[in-house]
Amino acid sequence: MAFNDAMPQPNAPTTAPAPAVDAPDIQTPAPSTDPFAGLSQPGSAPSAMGSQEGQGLQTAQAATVKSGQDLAAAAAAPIATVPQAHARLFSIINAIGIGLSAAGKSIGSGGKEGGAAEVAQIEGEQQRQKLEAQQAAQAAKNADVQNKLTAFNTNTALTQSWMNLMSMPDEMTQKHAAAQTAQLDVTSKQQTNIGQQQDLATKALSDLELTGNKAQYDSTLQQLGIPQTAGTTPGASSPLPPVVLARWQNAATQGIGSYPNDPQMKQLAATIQAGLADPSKVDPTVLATAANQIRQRQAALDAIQTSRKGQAETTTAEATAKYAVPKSQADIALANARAAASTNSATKSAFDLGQAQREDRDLATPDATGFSSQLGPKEYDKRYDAFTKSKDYQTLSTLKGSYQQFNDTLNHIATTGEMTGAESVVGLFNAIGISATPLAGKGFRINSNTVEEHQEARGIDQAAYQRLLALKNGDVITPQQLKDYSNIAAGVYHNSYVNAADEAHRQGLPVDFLPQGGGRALDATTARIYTDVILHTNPSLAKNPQALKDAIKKSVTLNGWSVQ
Amino acid sequence: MSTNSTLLQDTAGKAAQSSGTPTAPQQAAAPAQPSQSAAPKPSASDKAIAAAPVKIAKGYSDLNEKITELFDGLGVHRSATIPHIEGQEPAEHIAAVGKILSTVGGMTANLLSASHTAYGKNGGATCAFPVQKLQETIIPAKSELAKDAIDACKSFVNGCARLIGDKDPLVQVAKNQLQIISRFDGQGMTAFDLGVGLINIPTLLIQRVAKLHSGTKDGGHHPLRRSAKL
Repeated sequence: MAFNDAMPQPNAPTTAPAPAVDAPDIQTPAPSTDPFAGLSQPGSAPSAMGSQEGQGLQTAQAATVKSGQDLAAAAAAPIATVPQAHARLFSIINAIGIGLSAAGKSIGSGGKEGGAAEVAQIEGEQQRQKLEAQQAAQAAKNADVQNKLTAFNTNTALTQSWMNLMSMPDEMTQKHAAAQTAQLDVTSKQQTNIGQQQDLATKALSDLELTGNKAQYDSTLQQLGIPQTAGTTPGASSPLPPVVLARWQNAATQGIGSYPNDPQMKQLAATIQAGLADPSKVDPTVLATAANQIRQRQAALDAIQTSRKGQAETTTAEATAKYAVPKSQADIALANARAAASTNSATKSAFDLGQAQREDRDLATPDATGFSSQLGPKEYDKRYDAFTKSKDYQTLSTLKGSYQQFNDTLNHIATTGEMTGAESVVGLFNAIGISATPLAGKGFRINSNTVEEHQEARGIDQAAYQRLLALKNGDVITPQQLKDYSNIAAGVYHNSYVNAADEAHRQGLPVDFLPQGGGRALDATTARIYTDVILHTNPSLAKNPQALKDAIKKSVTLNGWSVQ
Repeated sequence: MSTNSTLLQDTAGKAAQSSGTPTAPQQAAAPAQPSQSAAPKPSASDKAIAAAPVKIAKGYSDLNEKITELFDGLGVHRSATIPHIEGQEPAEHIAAVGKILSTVGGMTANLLSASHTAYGKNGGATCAFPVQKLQETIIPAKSELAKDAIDACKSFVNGCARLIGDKDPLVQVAKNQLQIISRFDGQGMTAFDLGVGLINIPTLLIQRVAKLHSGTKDGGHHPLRRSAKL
């Protein structure tokens, strides 16, 4: 070890024993052991290399180095070779021993055991042990690396944990962590409310544009809690929203731009322009009506244009087909097909025109209560379809038939004094929410009180619900009791129609679903329905009974009721 | 539980008892009692305990101190002790720890435990223990020090559970891990494995609490809260 370490050091031999050389004179500056000493300190130590003494010293030093190297080589040789030789010798002896043992075993067993096979086995075992030792060393190394990795990760986690803890208050309560959920709920609800508010405000604005009903718009905004236009005195009527004015202006500009020579368009555009000059002095409904009429007029004129264009194309196609020289049967077929297509197109355009004119006319026609829709055809169709599918309207369909049955039953009871129309009674009670079994003209028995489950489906009012809820299983309904229920049934019928009519008018739709008379005499319930609907549409008639009576008479007559 | 157990540990222990989670004494009496036993209806005092603040930094500091005491008690000599100097910023302390660790084998050759400046003994310190020695040291039977360290970890986990709820999956995992470790109070484990376990079990819980707490601040992580600020 020491020799090996010393070998690469050129100065090491100076420390090695050198008996053949005299010790250097102590007066003479000792030769530096650092080969770069003279270079690094040229003036500090005079060089002795030029003198004889110096040369002799140099030779002696070289000899010393050489002898030192030889000694080292000589000393190192046996150290390096002896173990190898021993190992080799041990290996030979081991192999001979194994061989002799195996041979002896083979001789002793008559060749059944031992021999070359045992030698191979022993060598294999030795090899296996060597591999196992290597694997164990590797496993220990891996475990060490794993431990180091774990320690590193744990220390990192510790640091990270402290850093996370520093981001929090020392004393935490549930609200510090759980407040998030609560805040999220609130935020979410707020956002949902805001979204609903915005939807309603947008719809209100759209309604204002179509109807010009500013009071209703203001009322909606007030209910939503949306502040009016800035600068408006509370309580005072706020100005019309600029976006609505701009839409009316656009309608006028677009209409007059498309059909500048149309007198009706000119008149409507002038109305809007005059109104927009000072909107505060004009009734918004006038402007909304004019804008809607412009749109409807424009749609009708567009349809006319399309129709004329289609007719012209048809004429051209027919003339072309007539006077063109056909080149082949295929060309003839093609020309005929084009002419037919053009004719179809013209027919379609004519139909569209007719349809548009019909719609225009229908929309302008007031309903039985005097209400006239201000909606454009598209919006009208959209809302009409939606209303027809609504619960209000569909409930009316059910009630209409049931109420008729109910009246028939009551009439029958009035004339005969017995309840023979049991099936009709079942129909009635199905309409208002009770399942019943007919009992052969002697009333009927409630077999299942299903009022509650039918309440939502039938739109029954609260009073009827409470009364009918009192019925119990096994109760028998007499004709008199049925008569008692007539007021409730009539109330349900009346309220359903009036509510549906109010909703239709609110949506800008005509009330074309009021009960139809078909020449029959007007009954009290129907008269009340018409009265309330007309009053809701024209509240001013309440102060003028005669005008109200005339309006009701006109309205019911229009719907086929006979009035004496 | 140790004699110097903190208010946090006491309150957390009571809360754990009220919620049916077995604490160390209960386990000693009935080790087979599962934590899924039916929870009794919380009383008014239980509710008050649940509403009491959790000293989360103190709890973690206590846990680290117990780990340090465990290693010291097992006769593992520290590689280094780096006390917190008054007025020293956390970043400076971490830098000092890194510098000193590099002279004793580095981060991979030592396991650290660190107590809090305000709650630790003598102003808090970071202690380094040689991994190799910890690996060679086995926790003996009935080691009070090991039991105290495990109890401190339980208290901390219970504190976190009070903040984020017992039903949080991380809480359930942490409690189950602790249940496994505490079955024999760490007996037969190496000191290294027990120390690593006790430090790592609360790590994800701390992350969870920090994340939830972060969400309550302005600009919190939740998109709904962010959008509300727009």
